[in-house]
Order: sequence, then structure tokens, then C-alpha cells
Amino acid sequence: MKKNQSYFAPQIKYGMISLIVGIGIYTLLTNLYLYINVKSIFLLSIFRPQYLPSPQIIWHKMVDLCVGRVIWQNIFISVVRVLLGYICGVTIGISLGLLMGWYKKVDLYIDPLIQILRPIPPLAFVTLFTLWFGIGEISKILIIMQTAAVVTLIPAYQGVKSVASIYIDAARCLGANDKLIFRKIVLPSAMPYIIAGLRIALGLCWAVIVAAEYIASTRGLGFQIIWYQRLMSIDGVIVGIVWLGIIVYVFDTLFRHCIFNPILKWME
Amino acid sequence: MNLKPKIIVRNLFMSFKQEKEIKVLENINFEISLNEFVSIIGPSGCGKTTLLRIIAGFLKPTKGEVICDGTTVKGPSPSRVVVFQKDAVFPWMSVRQNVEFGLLAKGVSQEERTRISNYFIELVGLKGFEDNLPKTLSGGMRKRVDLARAYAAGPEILLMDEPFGSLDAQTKSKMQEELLKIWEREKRTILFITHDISEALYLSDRVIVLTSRPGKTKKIIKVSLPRPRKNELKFTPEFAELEREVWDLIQEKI
Repeated sequence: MKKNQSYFAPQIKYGMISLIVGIGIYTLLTNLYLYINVKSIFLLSIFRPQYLPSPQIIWHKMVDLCVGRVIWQNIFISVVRVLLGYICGVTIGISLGLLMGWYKKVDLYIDPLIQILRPIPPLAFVTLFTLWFGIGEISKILIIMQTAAVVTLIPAYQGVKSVASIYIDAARCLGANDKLIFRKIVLPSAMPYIIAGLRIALGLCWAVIVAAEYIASTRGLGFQIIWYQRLMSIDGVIVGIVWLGIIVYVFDTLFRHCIFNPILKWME
Repeated sequence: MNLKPKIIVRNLFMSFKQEKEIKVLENINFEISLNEFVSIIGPSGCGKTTLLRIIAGFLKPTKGEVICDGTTVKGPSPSRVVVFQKDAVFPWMSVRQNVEFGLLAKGVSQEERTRISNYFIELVGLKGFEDNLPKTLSGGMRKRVDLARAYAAGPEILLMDEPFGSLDAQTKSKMQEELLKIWEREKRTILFITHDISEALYLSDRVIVLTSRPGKTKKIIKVSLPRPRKNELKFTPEFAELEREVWDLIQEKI
């Protein structure tokens, strides 16, 4: 415990300093317009409320929006889209990856298809999916599913392929059949790879949903941001971005501490 | 002692085909009796590990056969468990789960598994560490887990491939003593591979000396030092003499 404290203390200290200094400088610059004519000075002309609102303005907008219902509805919709798509997508991706890693035949049949699909950025399908399934939930969830599946498949496959043969030999001579070896040796041994894929997929799914909502949507956090952009309401856009940061951070932290780390606690 | 041998290795030849054929083992013949402790020693690269992998059933010999309990070895079996040189303890399982693995594979009930694993965990001196993960154990302790796991699977033959090769000198001699103690209590037929002459002599009833590649049986030395053996035995003149004999055998050019 003691060791931990001495390890974290400087991190927190320096973190606080850098935050305070950073926000301080931003506050100063964004409030300059109140005292001097920033428009006339080339490098400072961007620090106008129309482009970069000061922290007070953003904070007011944030509080304003929190009182209303719209922001919460949009956050809820984006979260549901990501969660649903992510869960379905990673289930498909990981299962396929594991199957391909474990059964040579499956690998030979499916790999060419994967290789064709893999290099295409998921967002390229937004227009197509919107045409097929409309602007609503199905097209969004499908995009997320596809992203999550493609990103998690390869690590799961690699994980199976990289199981140390000594563990399989040991298990086999202890009398384990293929099923037990897969369940108790291959799967846990592939977990570090699978979880690395899961983490990358989570971040990417958020990136994709926001972009998809920018492109074709009538609801969701991404839509709300684009809506404020159309209204030329920069503070609204920034509040949306701040919310995204908070949500993705919370998601990543929750997944890491509640799911990923407990599974990998056996690692050195 | 049982007259019928437990393991018979008969006219065994092994070669690997790469660019050209490499002969690894040539005409290996020996027998091991029930509950005998036999070591195989030889210069590095003489095919000791290959021989053990053939007996374990991981490899098929080019010619000849291995017979265990009257039947030819065709593949790995829990009646012949291998303890590997490298750390083969499953790092994602606790000590207990590791030790119970062979029993789980056999479909033994949870109650029975706990009973058997308790016994062997205590036998190797790891009581109190049942729920530890391997990452919290030292190299020597992991070897104990490996031993307990091998024993708990209920084999009649234990095949050990330089199991203490990666340990430091002190831990190694401690583990040797420990292994003998365990073996005195739970007799099994043990085939032990090593390149360490004193280790082979200290542990075994007989030592099979192989020549350098292709490995042939050079000589089988009977070690009639009294049991139970303590570590001090290694410092007696009789022991030194035997050590000298084996040393000379290995040094000799084929």
C-alpha cells in the first residue's frame, strides 16, 4: 500500500499542476476579448467567443443543457447504440476469430472473405446501410457491430495461434481432450489478445458512432453536435464534445476495472 | 521387484527429415522395472528429450517401439505424465486448479478432486498456497506445483525432462532431496532426463548413459548407494568415484 501511495502522489500532484496551468492559460486567452480588440491581432483573433468560448460560457451552456431533457435523450440513444452494437459485434468477431484459430478448415473458408472486408473502413458502409435500413437504429447498430466484429476478430485469432505449445502438451499428457484444452488452456491463454482487441474496439465504436451520427441521423450525441454546428453555436458543439470525452472515459475505465483487469489478474 | 518390466524400449530409431536426414537416436534398448528410478544422461543434443517425447507419446519413432504395461505407446496418456523443463504450470489457474487439472480431465467429482489435491499439495509442501496464482510463487515452488499436478493425475509412470534444469544450484539440490522424499512416500516408475551427472547418480537406481548424436545406449550403470539418500551423500568418496566413472564415459569419443 505504502509503495502505491508514493507512486501515485507525484502523478496526482503533477497532473493537478498541468490541469490548472492549462485551464488557466485557456481562461486568460479566451477572456482577452473583454479587454483588447483581439480581432486586430492576427495570432489572437481566434480567441473570440464565436470560435473559442471561455470556460465560463461553456460551463453555463453545460448547466443549461443538463436541466433540459434533450441532451440526456441523445446521450442515452448513443450509449444504447454503442452498447448493443458492441456486444453483438464482439460476440461475432471473437467467436469467429476463435473458431478460425482452432479449426483449420474454418480458417481456410472464411479468411478470404475477412481479408476482403477488413481493409474497408466501417464508415464507408454508412450510406449503404442507411439506404437499406433507413436512418434509424438498425443502420447505426449494424455499423457498430461491423466495427466491433472486424476489430476483435484478428486478435482472437492471433490469441489462439499463439498459445504456447508446452501448455497444450502438458494438458494433453494430463489426459485432457480437445474440448477441455480449448476451454481451460486456449481460451484463457488467448485472453490478453482478446481483451486488447476489446479495448481498441470500444474506443473505435465510439469514434464510428459519432461520425455515423454526423453523417445520417436524427438523434444521438453526434447528431446534437452537428445540430449546434448548423446553428453556429460553438459552445453547444464544445459541450457535446466534452460529454463525449466524459462518456468514453467512463466506459473505458468501467470496462477496464470491472471486466478486463479481473480477467487478466493472473498476468505478471 | 516385479519381474515384468514397466517400460520396454526396443530397437528404437529416430531421425528427423529436414534438408537431409538427421539421425537422432540409434538402436536404443532398455527396460525399466516397476517403481524404479532411472535417469538418462548424455551430452547435450544427444536426443534425450526426443527419447522422452517418444516415450510420452508426443512423437512417433522412425523404427522400433516403446511398450508400457504390455501395450505399444501410440499417443499421450495420463498414465505417463511429463514434467517439463520449462515452466508448464498454467499461469491463469491457482495452485489448486493446476493440481486438479488431471482429475478434472478424468471427470472426477469436485469432492474427490479437493481431497486428492489437498494430499498432494501438502506432500510437495505447498499447504497454505492453494489459492495462490503462479505469478506469486518462486521458480522452485512452481516446480512443486508441477510435481503435485503430475502426481495428482494418477500416473504410473512419471517422465521428467530436466525438470530442475532452470533452477539455481541451491534450489536444485533442495528439490532433488524433496523429490526423493516424495518418491519414497509415493513410489512411481520415474524416468528422469538430465545432463547433470551428480543429479542423475543421486536420484537414480540406474543411470543410462547415451553417446553423442546419434544417441546410442553406451552403458547402463547401476547405482547401489543406500536409500534413503540425503544430500550429504554427494560428498562421500563412493559418490565421487561413481561420478568420475560417468564423467569419463561421457568424455570418451564414441
